[in-house]
Amino acid sequence: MTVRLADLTAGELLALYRSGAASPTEVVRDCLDRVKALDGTLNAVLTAAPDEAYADARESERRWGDGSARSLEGIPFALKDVIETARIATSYGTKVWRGHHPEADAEVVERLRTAGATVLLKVQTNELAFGAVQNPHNGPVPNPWNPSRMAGGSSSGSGAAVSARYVPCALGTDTGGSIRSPSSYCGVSGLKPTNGLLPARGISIVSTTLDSVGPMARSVEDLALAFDALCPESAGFPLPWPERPLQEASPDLRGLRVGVPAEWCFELVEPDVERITRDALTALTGLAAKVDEIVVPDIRLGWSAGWVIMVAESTGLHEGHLRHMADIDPSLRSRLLAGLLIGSSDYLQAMYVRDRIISQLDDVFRRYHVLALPTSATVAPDVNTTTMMLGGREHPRIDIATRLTILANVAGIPSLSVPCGFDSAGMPVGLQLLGPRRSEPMLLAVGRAYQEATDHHRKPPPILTGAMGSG
Amino acid sequence: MAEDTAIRLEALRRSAEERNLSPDQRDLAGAVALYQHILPMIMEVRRYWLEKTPTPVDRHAPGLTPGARS
Repeated sequence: MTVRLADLTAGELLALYRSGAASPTEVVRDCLDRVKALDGTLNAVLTAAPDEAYADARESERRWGDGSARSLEGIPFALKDVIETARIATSYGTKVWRGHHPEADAEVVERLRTAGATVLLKVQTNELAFGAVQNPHNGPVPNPWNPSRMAGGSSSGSGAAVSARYVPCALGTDTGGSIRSPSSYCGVSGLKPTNGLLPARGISIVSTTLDSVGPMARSVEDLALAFDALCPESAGFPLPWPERPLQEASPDLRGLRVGVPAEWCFELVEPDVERITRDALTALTGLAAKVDEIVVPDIRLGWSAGWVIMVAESTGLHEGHLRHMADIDPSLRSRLLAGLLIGSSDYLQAMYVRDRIISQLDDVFRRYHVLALPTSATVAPDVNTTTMMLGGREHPRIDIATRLTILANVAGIPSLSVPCGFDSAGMPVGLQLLGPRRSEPMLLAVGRAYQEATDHHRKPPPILTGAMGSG
Repeated sequence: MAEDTAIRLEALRRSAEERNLSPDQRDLAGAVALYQHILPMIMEVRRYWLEKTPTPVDRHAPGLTPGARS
């Protein structure tokens, strides 16, 4: 496979810009060529913004020339289309808002632009980030690793666009796993930050309690670049680990204590997912981390509490959309209407469970720096899958899809997903790392050390190698 | 179970009507089906809350006290 500019990570592109070996205009052109070649298959892009991106690229070239380049100067991003952009249409994945032009960029977009990034693509999402995983208005997003599988939801377009190398980085949003599941399914890395850490202004959210916006990329190094721009104050976050400077070459994980809630997290997973996750834990041990299996008493309640909170809050936030009943897909109408049946006592009791889980995880994080578990119980399912057989029983796909991810949303803690291997059919598997609130720099350091020791994140999907078509 | 479903359908229809919403019968049936899917989760949360908060005083947990959550 010939390496093109669009194949490079943000870190690699910045090095080329710095040396003058490539320009932001050339990168925008190559990214758009890649979109043109593949998006007839992947259907990830809702809107491309070439005019804005080329104008931004010219400004970036001026800055690289005069020495005023910023941290993401000339790096193209894709944004999940629930994130508002003033100069590019934002539909929130629904027919109700098709052709809508918000008055301003979302605050996270302002932060990316302030760091020199450009918005090249607005990409697919479930309707209002909460409807059916195959968006009925815009069509399904096939997985770059196998088009008969789904790219995940609700940040499906972000996962596919980064995996297929349309762009090096994207933003997604995550209510119950919507950054991390598409990252896992599409073989990329994704960070769901601490709840409330990044500003929600200009983002259509599903739940005030559970939602976060965060970056997706092909390397943890790129996630760190994006996160630094999105959250400049994170440079001052306390680092419980490592004791040594993060900049040190080839860091190992000496001193890192990793807890694995094994009984819960391996109870309902595909055998390949368990095997590959255990191999990843062995790799962490090989990097000198101490890995222990642990029990968190009420961890499984997080899933139930999360669903009650999510359905109740989504109805509260989006009741107005039910006045556009005819323009909303029936699956979303039913989800939003279902919240009207959840009582205030049910909601408050779920919030009480949330408090208990936060308290129990606080105890865990006094003994362990991170928790490690699979990101998803399965690899990307077939696009038409509605139920899945696990542990000898059939389960609704949507239950299994959120089972291991929603805990971090309920607890309000950051969670990183990194590729950790491939199942027998060649589909990617993700390793999930959870840490205490505001521990993003530590999670990124652990993820980076893991990626320096492994190469799962470097493998290109078949859509790029010709097995599925030309790229 | 059929009686529960009918009661919920009627409750949902009234709740929607009070909000000047006009879902059709299929929307209402879909919403009730989803609610019934979530119901075991609601019941699990309720059982836990009753088990862990045996007295009314206990139920004033820090997170449920106005202003206590940072």
